[in-house]
Amino acid sequence: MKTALALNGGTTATTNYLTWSPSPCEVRLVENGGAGGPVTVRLRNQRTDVGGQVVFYAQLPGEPADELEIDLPADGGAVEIYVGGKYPHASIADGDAAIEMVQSASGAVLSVTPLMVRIRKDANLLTPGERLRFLEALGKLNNKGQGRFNELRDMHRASVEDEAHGHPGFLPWHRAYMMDFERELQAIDASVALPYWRFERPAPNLFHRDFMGEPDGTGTPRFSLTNPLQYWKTDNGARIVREPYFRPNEAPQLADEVQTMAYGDEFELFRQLEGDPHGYAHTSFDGDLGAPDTAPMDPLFFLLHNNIDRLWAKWQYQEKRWDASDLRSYPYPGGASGPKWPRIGHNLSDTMWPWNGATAAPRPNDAPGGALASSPVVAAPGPSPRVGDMIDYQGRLNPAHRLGFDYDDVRF
Amino acid sequence: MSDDDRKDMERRIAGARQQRLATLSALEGAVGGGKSLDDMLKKTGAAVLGKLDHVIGLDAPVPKNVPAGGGAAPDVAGRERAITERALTSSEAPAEARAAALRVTGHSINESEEGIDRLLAVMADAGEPTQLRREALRTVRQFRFSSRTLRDKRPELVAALRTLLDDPDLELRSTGAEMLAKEKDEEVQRRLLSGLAGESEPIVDAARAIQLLGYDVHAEHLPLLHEIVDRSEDVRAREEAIRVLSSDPSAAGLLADILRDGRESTVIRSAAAVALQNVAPLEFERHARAIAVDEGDDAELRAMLIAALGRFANPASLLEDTELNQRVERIAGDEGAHSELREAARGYQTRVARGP
Repeated sequence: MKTALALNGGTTATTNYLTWSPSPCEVRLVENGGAGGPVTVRLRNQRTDVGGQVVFYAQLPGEPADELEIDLPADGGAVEIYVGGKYPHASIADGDAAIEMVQSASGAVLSVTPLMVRIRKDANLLTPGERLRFLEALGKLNNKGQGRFNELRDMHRASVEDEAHGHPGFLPWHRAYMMDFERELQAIDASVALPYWRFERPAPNLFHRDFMGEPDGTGTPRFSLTNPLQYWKTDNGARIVREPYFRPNEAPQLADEVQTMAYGDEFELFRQLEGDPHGYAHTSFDGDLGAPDTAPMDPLFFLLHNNIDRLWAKWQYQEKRWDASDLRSYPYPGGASGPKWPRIGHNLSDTMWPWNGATAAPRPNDAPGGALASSPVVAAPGPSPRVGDMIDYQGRLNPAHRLGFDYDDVRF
Repeated sequence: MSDDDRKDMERRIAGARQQRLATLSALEGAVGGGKSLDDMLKKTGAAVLGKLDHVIGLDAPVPKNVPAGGGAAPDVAGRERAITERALTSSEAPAEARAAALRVTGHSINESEEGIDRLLAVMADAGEPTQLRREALRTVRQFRFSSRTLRDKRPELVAALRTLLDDPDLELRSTGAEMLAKEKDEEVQRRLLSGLAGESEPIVDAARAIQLLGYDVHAEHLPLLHEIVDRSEDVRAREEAIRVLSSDPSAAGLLADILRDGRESTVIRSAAAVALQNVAPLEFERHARAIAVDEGDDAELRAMLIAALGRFANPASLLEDTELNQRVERIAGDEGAHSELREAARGYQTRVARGP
């Protein structure tokens, strides 16, 4: 008797990546061993003492369970269930989690499906393996300042600021940007999730020679001899200029997580975070990070913005703001359905530059990078995302809305 | 965050809002009433936000047992704007109170034309207290990220920043120069070059000046940078110039000479290696290989170069390099070798074995 389990609509290891959000899973009998009727199987974590863990949903909406028993048709018909990571048990390496399927009657193991519960984590708390994989992928994406990284960098120039800053779409635009960046990293190493710099807390492991560099008081972050970031290159050559106004064992002075959440329970109030802590996180450094045009030249930029996105995700969880039709989730639907922000690109129904390829005024006159990177794990948001596609990122209202990422401290 | 976590966060949010209101009351008294900020904070029992600590040296605890459901008073935005206005205009209030107020409430004017004009004026006014001006500059830097109104005032911003280039305060000069350098301002470039060439009083030290010029390198800057690398005795300035020359293909020969020169420090040779790898990758590989197999050369530099070869060189050509691979293999198996050199050798082997 043999069974098969397909996660995220795929049958190869490329789709075996989960977040906390429930992912579709098809289970079927491949060889029924002569069974005349349905075969009852039990799905469970292969190991519960190490690695990532998963939970099972018989249907959605539904409650998660550590194990799930289902009946598989003898004719090989598929049974659809959902599987998600079990909060807070994220993987630390690819394949360290596995779904074991056993025949309920005999206890025989019918299949084992390795997978990864791939979660965005606090950069200061990464394992050495996680850190190294991230840095290697980052170095390859940078590729000596050529190719795709250049385009990602060019998306965040002073000339295009109205697409992403000072308007309500600041958070949705940067969510798409971080997702694009992360998917490019995952195309290099699928086990990588973009970590975040939790800037309200000291991060000595992050500001270290083995990671983002140790400050030396002169604006040159110092790297260990084998750190891939030694050779980081952008339009200003092979250098990163970064000098913090705080010591590695301190945190910069800016609004902390609670103060940020306290801005208000409506998006229009919450988006004050663009000033504090976002603006102050950037300007707690001399160097590249300190201005919008030069900030993406420093790889720390992407970890900084990932924390901004995490704060939005956390606020969404706290205030239950995943429904794009709720003006408290996002107040500018655009069109005829409600208030409209005057600048295109910041209403729910607007597509976002540069992924929409729009180059007619008032959009910028070029659109680097092309379509938003795809993912083997999720179909959303598609190559030309809209502002509204960024709201239900966990697929709570519709599993098809899932964007394929989650944070280590924001549950489903 | 389960529902229990949501409730706990609600309580903490309520506490943060209460704390903010208390801080606003303290600031209103300090900038409007001529009272000491210290006294006002004690009077209101306000817990000081972390952002104020370095200004007034207080670090009161967060109030406990604050009932959930507390929210910001509806006039918070108005109070914050009023406090900011007084911070920017009240010359009678103590400087530290004005700076603290600006730190806490300055965001309230980020889309106010008049407010931003006043902010830039305070920043540029040498008659205002330095502490306040630094805080104003910090606010301006933050607004570069979040304020549409400031984006529309680029000429005014540049003009205000240029006044800082002759300020007696180093922080104002240096930060102002950096903001202008990132705007590719020709005036600051002229002043930085002039200082480097010894033709005028420098705005900042040589290394910093070179660092800032690196944001917009022009062909006419290059001869001076080459000269600094070649002749300067200022080690930091040389290193910074090498980093900037990583975008100048004509510097390949100079960089290669430095990389091969055993009399140079490891820091300088490493900087040259990184720069050479950018401007002339094949020439870099040739020199990196020669140093990597030279057991008499600096171990740290060899480690860095072996790691780089494993990352950047063509794996097929590396596989054919018997001498290099034998040397790397020897290092990788030598427990007595320099630890980073051994780590680099092992990493090289893994990458080369993996192929492209």
